Amino acid sequence: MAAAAAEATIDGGGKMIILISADGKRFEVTEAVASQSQLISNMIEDDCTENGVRLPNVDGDILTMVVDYCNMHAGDAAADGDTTKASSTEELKKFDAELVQALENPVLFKLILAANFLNIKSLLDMTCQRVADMMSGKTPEQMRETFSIENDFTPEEEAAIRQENAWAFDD
Amino acid sequence: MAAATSDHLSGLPDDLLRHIISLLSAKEGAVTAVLSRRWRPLWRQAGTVNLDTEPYLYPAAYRGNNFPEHRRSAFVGHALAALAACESPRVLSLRLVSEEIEGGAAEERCAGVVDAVLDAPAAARVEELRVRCAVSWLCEHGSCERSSSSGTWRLRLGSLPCAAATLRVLHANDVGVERLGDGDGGVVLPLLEEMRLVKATVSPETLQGVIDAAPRLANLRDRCIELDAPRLRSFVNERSLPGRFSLTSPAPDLAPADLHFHDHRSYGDKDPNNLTVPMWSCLHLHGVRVLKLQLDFYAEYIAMDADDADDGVTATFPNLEYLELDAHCKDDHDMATELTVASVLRWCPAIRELRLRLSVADAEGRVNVIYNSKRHMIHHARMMRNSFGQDVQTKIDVDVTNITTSSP
Repeated sequence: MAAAAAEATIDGGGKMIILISADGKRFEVTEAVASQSQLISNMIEDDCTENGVRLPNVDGDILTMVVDYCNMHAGDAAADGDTTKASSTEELKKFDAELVQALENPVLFKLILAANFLNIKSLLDMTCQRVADMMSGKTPEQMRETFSIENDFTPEEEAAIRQENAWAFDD
Repeated sequence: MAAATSDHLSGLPDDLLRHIISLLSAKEGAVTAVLSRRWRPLWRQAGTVNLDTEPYLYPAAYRGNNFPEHRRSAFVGHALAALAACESPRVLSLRLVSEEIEGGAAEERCAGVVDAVLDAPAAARVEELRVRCAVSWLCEHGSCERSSSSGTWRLRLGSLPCAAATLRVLHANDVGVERLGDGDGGVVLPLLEEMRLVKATVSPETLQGVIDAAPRLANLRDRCIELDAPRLRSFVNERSLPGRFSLTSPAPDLAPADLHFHDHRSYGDKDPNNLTVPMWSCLHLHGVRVLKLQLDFYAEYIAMDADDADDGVTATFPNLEYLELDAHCKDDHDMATELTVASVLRWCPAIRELRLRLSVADAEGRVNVIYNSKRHMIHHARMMRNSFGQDVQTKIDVDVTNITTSSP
């Protein structure tokens, strides 16, 4: 088992698998790329990827972004002799920064859900961090506005909660 | 329906909202209680308390007095409130910013603040502790001799309430780590699995002590030594530690590793004996079979060590089968290649494949980040009988990158 895994890492994993989005779009990726998703990695281990992997929760446009991300980051895991470490790290950082900055609200949340469903930790962390950064430094009113959160407290209730956590509201 | 809700943050399940809150500062997290009924309980369940002294500083204050008593007590008060409110604080991160690091005053203040936080009852149940000291900008921009504030505060593992009970992960950045406690050989850190020390001040004795005291410790990182070895069981250090060394292993059963040696000193005329012998002799990595090794200095320096190999520095990686080595070399890369390959074969009797990438630095021996010409010379030297007579076929792949500076 360990020996087989070693060979796969060294070769970069040549076998291809097919991912099928909710709207029927098909993506062909290498096992090495796809197995950044823990969900798919488990499926590969259980040998149930033969007929393609259906992802009923993930739309094609979101899966496109996920596959791009995984293609970019596949080099992290595999021992790839062709690229120099420094430049690829720099490229990755730039790619990630651009991806995250470009994300608008609805797409951002869909990507979070996809990363969560597919269990791709680095993508999930990155997208959740983006939301946290968007919340950071905002007043509750601004947070509600940014994320369309409906305030379902009565003014009295809200005042009571502020009172309860007064330390968080004083400067 | 489902499509409509996933357009909003509210479309995410509670555990993802908790995850997002866990990325906020403790204070910002607590503010989310007021957003709506659904959000109200979430921050208490996030399991993470992130504390940072920076917002409590008076940046414009008179030098050395930017964290006065009343601001310190505000920070401690808020920290204790956040810890008390957190239903099960598993992760505690603490960032200490100090503007003034000379003398003992800042150290004392930091210690008071940190002790007050770590002695809180809730902090005794923490599984993951991340402590980071941020240096003053003066030091970071080079006015100080050494850009390290590790004198600011010392983490005393022995007297840390959570260490003996729940601590699994410890990350310390720019912090001194010392004193395990006076345990008479008993287990001091029963659950510690991962320790990452970056720019930390720690003596080899303490490091060895931690490993001895933590039966489950698999990961050990340090700015000097950055280790992540799933089967690391012994760490024997005889002389001064090398500049930097990192080892990460994504797949434990594969026993691969990633090492990065970095030398802080200038390239000019350092004494190679200071880094070569200890670098290898302090490592006994028996489990590692796949290794990526990155050296931020001349490959010749490790190669020189080959001459000393007769006095016991042998088979550092007895089970290593695949090695990727990135290093710099002086202008004579043929010589460097030959020496390095010879050394590697000596250290790694089981080696089957070696990929060697050498970068040539400029005349002054500096390797610039910006380089404008790359020349790849790839020698495929598929050879060769291991020079020690083992009957192992070894595949060797050499890639020399010539780096020139951008200056005329």
